[in-house]
This record gives sequence, structure tokens and C-alpha cells, in this order.
Amino acid sequence: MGGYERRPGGTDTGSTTGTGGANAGTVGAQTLTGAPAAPRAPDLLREVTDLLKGPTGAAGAFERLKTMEAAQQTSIATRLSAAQRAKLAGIERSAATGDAGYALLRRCFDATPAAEVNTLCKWTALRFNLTVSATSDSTGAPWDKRGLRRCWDVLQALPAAHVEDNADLSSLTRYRSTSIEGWASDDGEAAIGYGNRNKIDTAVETGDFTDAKDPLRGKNIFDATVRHEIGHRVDSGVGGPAYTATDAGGGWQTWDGSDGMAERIVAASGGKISGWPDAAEKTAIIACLQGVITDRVPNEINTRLGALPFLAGHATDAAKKTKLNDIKGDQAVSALRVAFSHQGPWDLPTGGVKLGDRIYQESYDWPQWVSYKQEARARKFSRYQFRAPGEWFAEAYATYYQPPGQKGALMAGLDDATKTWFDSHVDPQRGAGGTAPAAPGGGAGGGAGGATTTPQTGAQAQTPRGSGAPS
Amino acid sequence: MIARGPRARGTHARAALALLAAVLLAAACGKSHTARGAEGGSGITKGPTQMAATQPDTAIVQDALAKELKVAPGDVKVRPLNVSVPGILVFTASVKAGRPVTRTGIVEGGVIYTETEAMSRVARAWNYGVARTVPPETVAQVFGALHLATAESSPFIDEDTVDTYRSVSGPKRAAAVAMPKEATADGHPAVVYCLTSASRGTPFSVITAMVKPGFQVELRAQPVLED
Repeated sequence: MGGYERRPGGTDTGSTTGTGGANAGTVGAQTLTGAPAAPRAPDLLREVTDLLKGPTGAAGAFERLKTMEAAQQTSIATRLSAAQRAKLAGIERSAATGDAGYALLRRCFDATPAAEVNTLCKWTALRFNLTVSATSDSTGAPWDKRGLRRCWDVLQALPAAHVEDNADLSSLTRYRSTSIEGWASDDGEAAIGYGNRNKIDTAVETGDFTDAKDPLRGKNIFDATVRHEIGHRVDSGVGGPAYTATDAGGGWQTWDGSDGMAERIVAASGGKISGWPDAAEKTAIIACLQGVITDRVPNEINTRLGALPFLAGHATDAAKKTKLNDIKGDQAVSALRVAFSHQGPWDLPTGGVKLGDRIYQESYDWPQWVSYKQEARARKFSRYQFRAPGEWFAEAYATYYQPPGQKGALMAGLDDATKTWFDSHVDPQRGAGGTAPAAPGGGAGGGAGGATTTPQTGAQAQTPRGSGAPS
Repeated sequence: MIARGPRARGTHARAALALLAAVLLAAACGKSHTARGAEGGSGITKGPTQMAATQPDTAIVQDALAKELKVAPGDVKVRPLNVSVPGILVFTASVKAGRPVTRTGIVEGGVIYTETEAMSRVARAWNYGVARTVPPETVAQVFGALHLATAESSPFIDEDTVDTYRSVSGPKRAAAVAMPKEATADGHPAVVYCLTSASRGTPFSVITAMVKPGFQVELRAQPVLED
């Protein structure tokens, strides 16, 4: 504790006077009448500000604050000047860890006015061991207090191994958006987009991502988005790609690029194209479909097929017309008509046209192609889960850690295999504990100023589950 | 490592996004811009600097997006839309800059425009309005592609695709999906078409695109949700 002692029942610094007079803090001072005076309250604010100016600087001041009662911490953090708060937030992270440190960080955060955005970002960065800033590209927008507070509430309910101790997560950034959304990049960035008009405390999912019976329906969109993006940064580290390749995880197959997709889709269909008797014509058909895939132009399927040399004159030649109809009647062609990312096939109740037991689709336009077992949709947590294996995992992650209640409660009975896998492979506490608020211990968590009392709809206020340390 | 994609969420306020994208692209182009009213959609106008006019239109898009995202121009893939609009390139551009990013718009006179501002310029180039100078499918193809500046959208312009979509969608969308058609809305010539998008803020929707005097395009979107 840096030589400082906790002072049980300590002074209500909210009633101390300014920076103290001549006798401020002089215990046992005499009154003018000579009668012994009651012990004067120590001027804790002055103590802290003096420490800030002294050789130990912010570290000493923060350590001194840690020894105080919650109300004292809040009072002092509130009464510091903006510059003093900024200086205090300049501590090394190692000085701010542990339950007491985390609780103090939150009280400092809550006591920091909304206008002090950089300081608010620093508190959040210290708590979660992240760079907290605007995104580096030109869509970047400064954070605001309401967004950071909401992120804090979500992140502190997740395992430390997924957030502050996660080597695959380096930054929490914000970008300008008119809707609540996010993205995660493979360089460790989790970006959250929202605008001033978005009601992040009350906005719930009403159908953009989910069907009525999906577990994520009615849940706070902002919170689910934050969890989703963190889930992206957890995925690889816990073996998500291997699980999503299993039938229980959707049986996903992924191709980065579109080369060879027409051949795969034709084979999966097993239709007339696959068994086309003329090898040269079959090659031409597949090449034509591959061109549609490569150029990403499903609207040109008919035009391009009709232009195949061996179908020249099909408008008047009955045999060629039949050939064209045979090609267009193949499920491979039907599947391609609705399989591109700009058509949002994952949003369809069927996922699209099934080929064998699988759905094939372009998940992203860079492009990435995927296929998955259609029957897995019967166990979905949201429609968006079936965009790509990474989205499958991220939506599962958002569902598993959706409060309140036991972790994975929303999965139980819907996808028990995935809940069990999350319990054993994703959650470092192996499913123990829940997502309901935990009782603050030793002043940690909860805390002064309603640290975690942000009104929420569909998601309960959260405090850390224990230390949040991995088991 | 595979980059994980964006999770576009919530209700999309098109005009504001258009303005944003327009400003970004304009700034990246080194062009001055004027932010028009939110109702006007895109806010890029021609600026005093015309250096871009000597560049191929695709290079202009590459440079703009590269500067916006701080990547090399060669990392930006530009796909022109295969539709003839005099003096205009209609494009979709994408880049995987650690995350997937998509932009749509037009290049006219060396300047990038997006969303309804871009549509208006296309309508002017076609002289489209009371004079229906192109088929409704063509209008839908271009306007649909330009629907969102930051996400790809796809209009239904092919009967077989309409039929396929009808067979795999829910009942409400199956009932709503149709080929583009000419219409009149509020006394203005219009085209009604259906559209899907990669943006979750834009679910399957029926769009009414009105072409007002001066070729000003105004959109009315009717999202169709299954529940």
C-alpha cells in the first residue's frame, strides 16, 4: 500500500473545507479558549494533490486514493481539477490492477466530467489494458462518456483472458456512424460505431439481426455489439475455427477468394451441369458461372449463359433452348442467383438454395466464400450468425455472455453442444458463475456514484465476476 | 488470420451516412466540398482543383479510398458497373484493410459523388424523368447499386432471380419481391424496385425512387421484415 494505511471510517472529504486553513489537518490543535479541539479531519484532497505534484506523482496519489473509502475516492476524484485528473490518469497500468485498483479506476471514471474525453479514455485504457481512441482511419470519432461507460460495463463482465489479458485484442476504438455497429480487424482492433442520436442505453434488437425466437432478440444492441466484436478477437485463441468446422459448429468451409467456386457449387448440386454429356460444353458452362462469381454479377447470369457460343441461336433453336433451360434449371444456378454478400443470403429463412445438405454463399466481398450445413440454422442465435464462421462464433459469444443469469443460459435447450463447448473451451472459468451482478467485495465493483447502474434494457447492470482472472 | 467482418447494426440514417461518405471521399480526393442539407444526401460538389480530371476514373476511386483508409492504392479493388451512363463511371470499390471496407458511388468530371447526389447526376446524364429514356430495370440497376455509399446493395432486375428469391424467402418478402416498374409518386416520375444489401440497416426493401424537377432524386424505402 505504499506506506499508506487504510483509514476505516475515514473522513467524509465532501465536508472538508477547501485546501485547508492555517491549522488544517493539525491534529490536537487548541481552540482560542484553550479547550482541546476535536481532531480535525485530514485534508485528503490536499494530500492527494500534493502527492500529484511530488516525486511519486500520479502513482503515489493513486496509491493513496486506494487506501480510502469509496465515498472519499469519489469525492476527491470529483474535486480534482481537469488537469489533476488527467495527470492522475497517467499512472502506469501496473499500479492500477487488482480489485481495489479496478474499483478506484471506475470511481475515477464516474467522477470525471464528460467533457474530459481523453481522461475518460485513459481510465478505460488502464482498466482493460487497451488503447482506447478513435479509429485510425478517417471515419474515426472521439469517444464519449456514455459509450465508454457502456463498454466498461460490458467488458468487465467478460473474462480477463478475453479482454485485458488477451494478446489478440489491442485496442477499443470508435468510428462515426449513424447506427450502432462494429467491426474487428485481425490486427487486434475492436471498433464500435454509433452516433449521437443512437440511444445506446435503450436500443434493443428488434429484427435487424434476429428472428422473433432468437436468443439475441430484444437484447441491448450496443452491448451485444461490443461482446460480438470482442468475440472476434477471442475466436482464434480458443479454437473457434476448428469448432465451426465441425457439424455441431455448423460444418463451415471457407475459401479466401472465389477461384474454383463454380466447380464446387456445380458438384455440390449434382444436377444436370454436373452430368453434362459434352465435356467442352460443361467446361464452358462452369467457366461462365465462374465469371459471374468472379465479377460478382448474379444479375448477369442469364445474359452470360445465353451468350455461350454453343447456345447461339437458342431463341429460335428448340434444342439449344432446351439446353439453356437445363442449365438454368440446375440448382447450382439457382443458388448463385441469391448467394452474394450484397444479397444478404444469411438473412433468408432458408439461407438460400440448398445444394446437398449445404448452403454456399459469398460472405464478404473481398471476396470470401463459405459453405455450411443448412440444418445448423435450426439452432441459430441470430440470422447474422450464418454470414461466416467468424460471425457464427461472435454471435455465439455474444449469446453465451448475455446477462443476466448463468453463462450460456440462452444456449441451453437450443444448442447444448455449443454451450458445453463454450463452457469447456471458451470460458476460462469453465461455465462457473453467472452473468448477474456480483456483490462488490472489499469496495471493488459496484461502487460509488452508481458505477454500474447505467439504465439498461434487456441487459442487466454488470459487475465483475470475481477478479475475472482466468482459471 | 482471417479478418472478421463488420457487423453493421441498427437503423441506417441514409442522408447522414451519405454526407459522411461524401465528405470523406471529397477530402481524400483533395477536392473542396460543400455539405448540403441532410435531406440532400451526398454533399460533394466539384471543387476548384481539377488535377483528378487527368486520372482515369478508377484511379480516382483508388486514390480516394486509399487515402481514407491509409492503404496503398493497389489494395483498392474497383469494379465498374456494366451500365452505360454518359460521362459517368458507376463503381463499387472494396479493400480488405485488416477489415473489409466497401464504397459505392460515381465519378463524374473527376469528382466522386455518392447516394442520391450520384443518382441525380445519373438521371441528368440520362435526361431521365418524364422522358423515360432508359428501362426501369436499368434505373434500378444503377440506383440500387448506389443505394448505400458504404455497403453493396443489389436490386432485383431479373425474373429468374425474383422467382428464386421468392422460393427461399419468408412469406412477406415472397409477396413483395417483384421486377422494377415505372410509377408516379407525388406527381413525379418514379421507379419502384426491390433491393437487398450487405448492410443490416437496410434489409430487403421496396424502394420508390422519384425523379423531381432538376433531376433531383428522392428515395422512399419500405423495409419488409418477416416478423
